[in-house]
Amino acid sequence: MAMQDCLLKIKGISLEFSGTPILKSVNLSLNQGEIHALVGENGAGKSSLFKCILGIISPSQGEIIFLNESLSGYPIREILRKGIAMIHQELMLIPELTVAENIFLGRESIAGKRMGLREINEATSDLFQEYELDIPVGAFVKDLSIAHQQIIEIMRSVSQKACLILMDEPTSSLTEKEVIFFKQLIFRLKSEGISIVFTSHKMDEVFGFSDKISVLRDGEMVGTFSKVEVNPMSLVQKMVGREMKDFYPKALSEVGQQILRVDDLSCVPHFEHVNFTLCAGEVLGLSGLVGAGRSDIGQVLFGIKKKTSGQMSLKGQAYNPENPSEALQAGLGYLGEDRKEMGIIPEMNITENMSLGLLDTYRKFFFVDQTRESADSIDMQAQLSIHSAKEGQRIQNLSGGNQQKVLFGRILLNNPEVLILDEPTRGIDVMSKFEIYTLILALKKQGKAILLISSDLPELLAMSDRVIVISKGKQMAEMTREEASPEKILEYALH
Amino acid sequence: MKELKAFFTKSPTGGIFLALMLVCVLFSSMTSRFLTTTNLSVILNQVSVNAILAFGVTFVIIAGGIDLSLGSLVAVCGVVVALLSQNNDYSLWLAIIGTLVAGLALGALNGIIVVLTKVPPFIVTLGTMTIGRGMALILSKGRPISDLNESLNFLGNGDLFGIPIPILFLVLSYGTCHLLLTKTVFGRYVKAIGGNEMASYVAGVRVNRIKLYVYMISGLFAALAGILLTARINTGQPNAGLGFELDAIAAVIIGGTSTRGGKGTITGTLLGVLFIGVINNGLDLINVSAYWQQVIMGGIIILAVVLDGLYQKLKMNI
Repeated sequence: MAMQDCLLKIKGISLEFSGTPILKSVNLSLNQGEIHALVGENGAGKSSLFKCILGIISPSQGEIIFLNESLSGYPIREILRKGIAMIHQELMLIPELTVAENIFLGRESIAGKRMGLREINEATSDLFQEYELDIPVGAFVKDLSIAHQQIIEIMRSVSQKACLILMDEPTSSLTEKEVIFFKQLIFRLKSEGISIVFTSHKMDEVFGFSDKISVLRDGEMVGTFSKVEVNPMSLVQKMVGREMKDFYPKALSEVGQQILRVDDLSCVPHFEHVNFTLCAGEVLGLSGLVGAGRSDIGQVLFGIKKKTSGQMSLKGQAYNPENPSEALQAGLGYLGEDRKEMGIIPEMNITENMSLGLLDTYRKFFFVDQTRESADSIDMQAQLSIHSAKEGQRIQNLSGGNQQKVLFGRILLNNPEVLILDEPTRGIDVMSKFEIYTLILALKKQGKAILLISSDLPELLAMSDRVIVISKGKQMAEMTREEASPEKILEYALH
Repeated sequence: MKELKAFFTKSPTGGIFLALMLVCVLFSSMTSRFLTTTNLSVILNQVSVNAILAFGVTFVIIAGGIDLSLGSLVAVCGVVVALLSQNNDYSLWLAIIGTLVAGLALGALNGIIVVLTKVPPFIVTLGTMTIGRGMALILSKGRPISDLNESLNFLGNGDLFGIPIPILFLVLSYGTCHLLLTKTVFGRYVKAIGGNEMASYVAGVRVNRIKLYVYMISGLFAALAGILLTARINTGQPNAGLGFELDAIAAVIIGGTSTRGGKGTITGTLLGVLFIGVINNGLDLINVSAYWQQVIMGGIIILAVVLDGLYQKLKMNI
């Protein structure tokens, strides 16, 4: 490797946080124009490593060398100026400003020259033309899709002449189609000599995008591999540090009686004329692009949104929930797509979060029967192997995987017959994913009817007995597990 | 000793408790008239109306709302109880119950508008604040109402076993609200919807119902405060309670309740009320002019919240 090719070299970085080691002597090197995937479970130290590179936190040991210059001691502002940029998971744009204004935010004057609105619009148009982007420069950021917002953040980095872009789970909220575009974009950046380090929990992206893959586990660098040295299975093993026989557990169980039936259900403008049935002990996968209306189907079933026409029936009886509370009483359970928005109550602890939907059953006169409540919660925590550092810990301090398990606990306490799971494994670590798959299969075996909504195609195909594909609010196809394949599903979904 | 340390480091009210002790020590060192049984009883008596209002509005604020109509509700309910107990027309009990029902109804009006229109509670209660003031003036025809039932006067100025009645109401309200917030299903729901309304709704909480209830509680306690105030001054004053909502809200915030909702305690609110009351009383005792008192009070409120923020951060590292 020639010296000038080496863009970034991390030498023995260690980091401690109040006595707990976060990073242990991590080494990493990156060439110009390289796309590098950084994988590891949640809490393995990926974000901390990014923060060290950006100078947000300073490591206790080691050195980071960027373009043959040590970065230690420089403040964030200086490091950004040297050409390192970061795309955070939560995008950092100003929704009330236009695309162009966001791209030039804080740089309205360049080299002493003031940039007026016309100048920044022109400069942005030129930039977008160069990258063949079809986004109006005068549009307000709040009116754009998440994917477009992300592209704008990337373009901001490009316009700042960044030569290293760090991306924290860039694809976690993108649809399949957007991911394809995203891939083209980062390959374009690569051809311009820009290096990218990204994190992802999705194996097809890790292998599809990157030149090299580095694995972090518990703050230690397990190693850097080229794509030919590893496969998804062995990579997961390196991430969790032990062998997993099959990532998607299998359990065959009898499909029982029909429980839920949906006839010609519409919720304009989200979806129209949807028909399906769901039986006990069955997992029905609902596939489609984000925004195609999948989540809305789940929300209508759970009484969060109102249907505009059509029928739903539960065990032969007409079923029309006015609100989630009625759906809960009818025996449904719902796990929302966005854990932060629709799931957790951040300030509350595990037990309070779990019992929230069922407090009326823990009522003793006006009071909460805390003995029974905490006994049930402890039971459920053991059943779902929820790990918390200390009793009464707030849910916001748990890992994503543990938060998700608490929300499963909330559903299961009610002992529902039908479960609607919208993206149950989004943004959680590999180990928790595996546990949730195992749990879904156990529930299936108990005879629960499960509607699984997921953007993760391998997951959907492995878990479902049947798959329904939705595109632009219309039901495109229904197929059995045997008939279904990623290609077929995508074909219908993109239709 | 361990428990003491735990109180200051773990309890969310440790910071304000410390601040309250500090000002008490400060005033006792400045004047010998501060730390006397009589003076402490005077302070409690003086803060009772603000305390009762603040307890009620704590629920609203924890649920993520705000109630600016409190002061006006105090005036309306004060006028209503005066009208009902004028010239011994009705029995005192009927007058009180009637006024409490009026408070509940006015609170329900706030709640219904908030729930149905989805207009921010700040705006809704700003509107009902003006409506309430107008109603108080209409009902009283713009004049103070006097010649009240003598037993009403007893509520404001009498005592039971040597303890002034308003202080008994303060203690009773504190106990009820504390239990309601920490031990009941309702209290849990209030914190949940303040913490994350959408998630609570999806979890099956009847969010609208709970929101309606918190405004009704706020209205109920405003009615109680109105009754006590009218009883104390022995007249129904349509202009009573001006700015009371701000004192009550300030006490809640000083007491550590988050303005964004989701967390807070009644004990914190009580300490916040006492904090404001002690400072008012102490400044009086050391002869600070009423004008300067306002300047100092405002500064101290800001300082208290800033210091509490620092203290909470410090606590995280212990």
